[in-house]
Amino acid sequence: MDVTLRPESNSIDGKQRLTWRNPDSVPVKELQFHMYLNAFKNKETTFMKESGGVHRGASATVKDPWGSIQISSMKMVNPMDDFRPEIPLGSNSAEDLVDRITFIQPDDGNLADETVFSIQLPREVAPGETIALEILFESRLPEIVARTGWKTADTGNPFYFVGQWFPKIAVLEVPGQRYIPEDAEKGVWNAHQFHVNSEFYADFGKYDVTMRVPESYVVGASGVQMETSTENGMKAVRFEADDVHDFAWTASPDYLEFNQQWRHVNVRALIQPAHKGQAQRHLDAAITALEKYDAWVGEYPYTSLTVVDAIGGSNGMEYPTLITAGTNYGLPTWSRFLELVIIHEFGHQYFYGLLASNEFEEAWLDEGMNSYIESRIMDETYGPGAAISLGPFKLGDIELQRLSYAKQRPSSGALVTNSWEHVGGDYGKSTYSKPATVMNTLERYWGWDMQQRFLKAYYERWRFKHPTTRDLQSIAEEVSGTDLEWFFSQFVYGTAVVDYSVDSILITDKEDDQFVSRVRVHREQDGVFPTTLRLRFDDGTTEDVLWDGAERWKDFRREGTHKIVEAYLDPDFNNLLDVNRLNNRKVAASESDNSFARLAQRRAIMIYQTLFYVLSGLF
Amino acid sequence: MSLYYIKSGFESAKARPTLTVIMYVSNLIMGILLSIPVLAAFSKATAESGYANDLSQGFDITLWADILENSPSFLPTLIAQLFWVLPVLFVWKMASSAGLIHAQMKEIEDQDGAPDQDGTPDESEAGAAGADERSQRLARNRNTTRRFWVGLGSNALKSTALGFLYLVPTVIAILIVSVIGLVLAQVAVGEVGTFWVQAVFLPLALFMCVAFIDMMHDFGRVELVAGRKGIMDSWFAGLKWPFHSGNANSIYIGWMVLGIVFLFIPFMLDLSSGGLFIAFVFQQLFLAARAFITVGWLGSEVKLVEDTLE
Ligand SMILES: [Zn+2]
Repeated sequence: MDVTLRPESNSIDGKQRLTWRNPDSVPVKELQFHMYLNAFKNKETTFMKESGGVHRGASATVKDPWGSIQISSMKMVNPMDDFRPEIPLGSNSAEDLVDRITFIQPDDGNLADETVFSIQLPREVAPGETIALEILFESRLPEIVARTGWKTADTGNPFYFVGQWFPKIAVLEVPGQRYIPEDAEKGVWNAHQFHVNSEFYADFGKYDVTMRVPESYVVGASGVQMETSTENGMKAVRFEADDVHDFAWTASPDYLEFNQQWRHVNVRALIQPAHKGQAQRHLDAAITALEKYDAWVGEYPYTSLTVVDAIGGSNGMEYPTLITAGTNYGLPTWSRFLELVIIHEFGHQYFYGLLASNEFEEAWLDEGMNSYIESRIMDETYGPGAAISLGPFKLGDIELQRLSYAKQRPSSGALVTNSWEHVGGDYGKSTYSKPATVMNTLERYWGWDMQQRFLKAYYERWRFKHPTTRDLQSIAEEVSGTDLEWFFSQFVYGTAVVDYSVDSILITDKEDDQFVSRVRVHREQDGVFPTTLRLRFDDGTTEDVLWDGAERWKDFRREGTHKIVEAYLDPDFNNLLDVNRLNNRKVAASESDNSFARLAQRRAIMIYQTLFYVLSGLF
Repeated sequence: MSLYYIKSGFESAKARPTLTVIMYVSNLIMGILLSIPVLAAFSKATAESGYANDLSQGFDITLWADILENSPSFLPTLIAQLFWVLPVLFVWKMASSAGLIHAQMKEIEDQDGAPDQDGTPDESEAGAAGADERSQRLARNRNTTRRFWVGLGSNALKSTALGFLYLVPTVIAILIVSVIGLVLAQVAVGEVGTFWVQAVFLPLALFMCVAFIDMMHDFGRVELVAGRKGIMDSWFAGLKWPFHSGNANSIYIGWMVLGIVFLFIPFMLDLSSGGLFIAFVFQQLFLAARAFITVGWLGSEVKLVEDTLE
């Protein structure tokens, strides 16, 4: 591509050469494309209707925030010819295909939505044949609401984050790929409209993009920076990105640039002037993530990583080798949400970038697997209080993920759900926090060694491909040699809720200092998960009993000279899916202990006393 | 000069320990009353759970989340309590301050119907011996207590009315600070500007305003009780104090700094080892000292007003 950014109209125009090879075993005549920027075209688009114009709290502030994308010309060219952006497409005598463009709405039939189009080529593309299309397009950037567009920075300078910005070919899924049956007669285009609750899906390719911007702008982009030249106050910056499935870039005269080398990777941070003091935090977090992923999942195959401190709604997003973070002036060090976001977005280089699952249909494979490893990196790197550590108030990331699943209607929203079909805020829970908790539980179920073998095998087998939930499950079953259907059907495909409790401890005296102790445990919900029951006797000895957790109620009886004084289900807290931990444990009435309540009361008294003095000072 | 007044306030509070006791105990009783739902909720949730010890060791958000889920009325109760405690606190502050002033002011003429027994610390301790000294001290304490309650009884209403009058300048000051904040927000645009306006300027300005008006209020109340002025006169007189007396300012600031320090220490202690019995005892010592500061603070202000009136 060769494109020019025009700040006066917040638009980009240029020429794209698309080279596409038919992966199917039958000829193909239809192509499908994404025109994502059309999601911001007017109030009637599917994105606008679903979002009400608000995405993650960001909304438009100007009169005309709209964005769109238009193709003015599209022609088939000889793939062997050089790409010559300076030569007008009009000089090519091939048929202009622009009139063949038909917008389609595969998800909701909303005719006002023009984010996907289909085009019938003038001729069939033979199996394995490579064709080339040259496309002239103009992208009008929206004011940034959801990830992409323009914004005026605090400095008064323009800021651009350019994502989902060019006509992008969809994925033709061939028989045997993902869920297309092996014996299907031909492949099927997988294209979805732009939704509020969904990210993206595309094929791997090689991007070679020249971006022309005003000379004073600093440019960050996917891939590796090649040559730069300047002419008439404009700067042409060329980037090359191999084996990626998207290309995004950013430009602003404000960016301060910081670089640090980690092994084969040049880590580049583009920072807003106000956040200069946090530049090292950006680099450190990125390198932490690089190290952990390298050790736990596999090698990072690219040589560049750009961390962008972007503006507002463009923050917290992933693109191949380019991620956006987001921070605030004065962010204290006890809040590690900056690190969390960087580690998360970096993780997408694996779960999205390299393991390029379909984010429309199985977003949990990207967001959820990534949130799992993010929580693991956070807690291992920063210790207790990894996310927030303010005095005695410490919040770890694994805990944060668990709570936002366990305390938010845990019985609704399965992991495997089309993103746009989630209801009532389930998207966040079922795509991020629940899968993170499911995976943290799987790790505790079979141990970290097995989990690492599983992660590494999954990466090894599926990188640069489009793995599905089914593929992930078979790898897990393959490396462990066990049937995990019970696990996947309940917690990945289903919405089973786990909650075990100790119901009662009953002691009856028998003759000769003998006692009968009976512990009754209860499966409170539909989820079944094997667990350990730890019994403690009045002489201090303990006994661990394994329970498959299947029965609704179960009694454990022990006879002898010692009474059971405590029963504790899952004492090592291996099952993070158990939505209530408090009821997992009970002591006999003889060991009832009110010390914590009294301690809490003493604290409350003192805090109230202090508060009264402060309040009395106000009047 | 202001050090003299701070010292005399300190001596006055020291000579009247019962006042510190009254302030400390009343504060403690309210704290205990409000803490009852905490005890109830946590007893129910944790006594037989087996987690009492784990919960005491440190903050465990997993268990806390479960406890709060099990006692859904817990947080609403804590919030609802504020609705009755705030008015009570307001009235008690107005009334008890009147009592504290009355107990520490000079008895111009004995309108309370009791001989002047509390005197000043130096004269009453001169030459007294053993048992005699003790009985004198007891009598002095009884008299202090009586004067506190008499002062409270005869001035509580007027003092509360005066308190309401001081809400007027408070509201005005808050409005002014808000307007300045709004103007600043127009000038200091962007993330950095917003940070300085919202996180630094506004809290600081509000704190200073509230303290400034509280100082006026303090002196207005002393004028009301010790100066025997009417409510409106006291109100005006109080408003003028910070402007015409440097001593008033330094006395107020001096005691305020002490007051903050003595609240801050128990609070820090709570962060490090909150709830431990031994920590609680130390906290109570600091809070008792904080009660002493309240007494001494007013003692200094009374002395200053009396010296100025003479
Ligand atoms: Zn993500």
